Amino acid sequence: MNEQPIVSRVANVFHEAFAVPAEIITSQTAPDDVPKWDSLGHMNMVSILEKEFGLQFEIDEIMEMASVQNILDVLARKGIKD
Amino acid sequence: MRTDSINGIVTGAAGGIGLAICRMLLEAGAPKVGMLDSQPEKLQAAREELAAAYAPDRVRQFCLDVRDQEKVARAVEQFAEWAGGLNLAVNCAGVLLDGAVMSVSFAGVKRYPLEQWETTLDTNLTGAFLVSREAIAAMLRSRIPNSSPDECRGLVVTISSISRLGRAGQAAYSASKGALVSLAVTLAQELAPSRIRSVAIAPGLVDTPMAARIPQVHRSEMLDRVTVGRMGCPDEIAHAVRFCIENEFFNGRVLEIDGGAF
Repeated sequence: MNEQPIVSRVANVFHEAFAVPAEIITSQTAPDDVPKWDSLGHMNMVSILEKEFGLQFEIDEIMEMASVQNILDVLARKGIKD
Repeated sequence: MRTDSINGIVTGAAGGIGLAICRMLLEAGAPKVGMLDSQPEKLQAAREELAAAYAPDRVRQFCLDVRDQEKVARAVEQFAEWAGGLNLAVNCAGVLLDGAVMSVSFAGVKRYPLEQWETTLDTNLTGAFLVSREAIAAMLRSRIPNSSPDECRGLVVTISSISRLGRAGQAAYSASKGALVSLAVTLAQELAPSRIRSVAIAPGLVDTPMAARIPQVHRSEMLDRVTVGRMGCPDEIAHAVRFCIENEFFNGRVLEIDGGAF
């Protein structure tokens, strides 16, 4: 069982996907705050997110992920919450 | 072939690599250079710059879109008549319209537009086909004074790209640049009996207006994978063109000038 807070795990996903320090990622982080978070980067990030949490997202969920908070909301609906 | 015996045309000649190739040719003593480009003002300025630096009667401009079959044929014919023959064509004109074939993100579902796909393939690939075809016809008509039976009578240089083997976010551009290599190799095989060579050059990231349009973040990412740690300069690609002209054992192959990108 991973004891890390969900937001920290998402921050680690961002670090892997976008090569940014995990420390700068907060629930308020949005695409404009992360240079590599464009449509191609988004697909890569979602793929790492799926591996990290062992689940698959629907297209609507992927499109909903317009901020870290949105990602946390989607994860919570799938039963992933602190 | 000696560079100082070149009567050549260059497409995409108004800036970047194409302009550097024209400058290299004139600097090396090529008697006549034809500059082809679709942007009239940029082309005019580029020609004036070269005419002032070298000699006005050595450089001529042809404003056209390489996708226009009739204009390409007319320009090549006019150049060959003006120059007294043609023995070099450099296919450098190209467009870069980045985008994933299909992506799902916070911006929604995005499909790469067919219009952009066609513009890229038509300009980069079909344009090079049209220019090569007409240039070869002119080369076959050109008389080479005092040439030996072993001497090359013409050369087609096609500028491909490091992206020719595929690059995420550049499907159309990569496909066009990959196909250009196939075209160059095919021409080499078809034209060998006529003593016309055909080669491709695959530049890496080069400091040009086209590269400047690549988002900074992606440019940095590409630069991280260049062993020499910098972008190339257009003059370094022009230097590769000179190698292709002067080394007659180089044919039907791709010359990679990418700073050791991995």
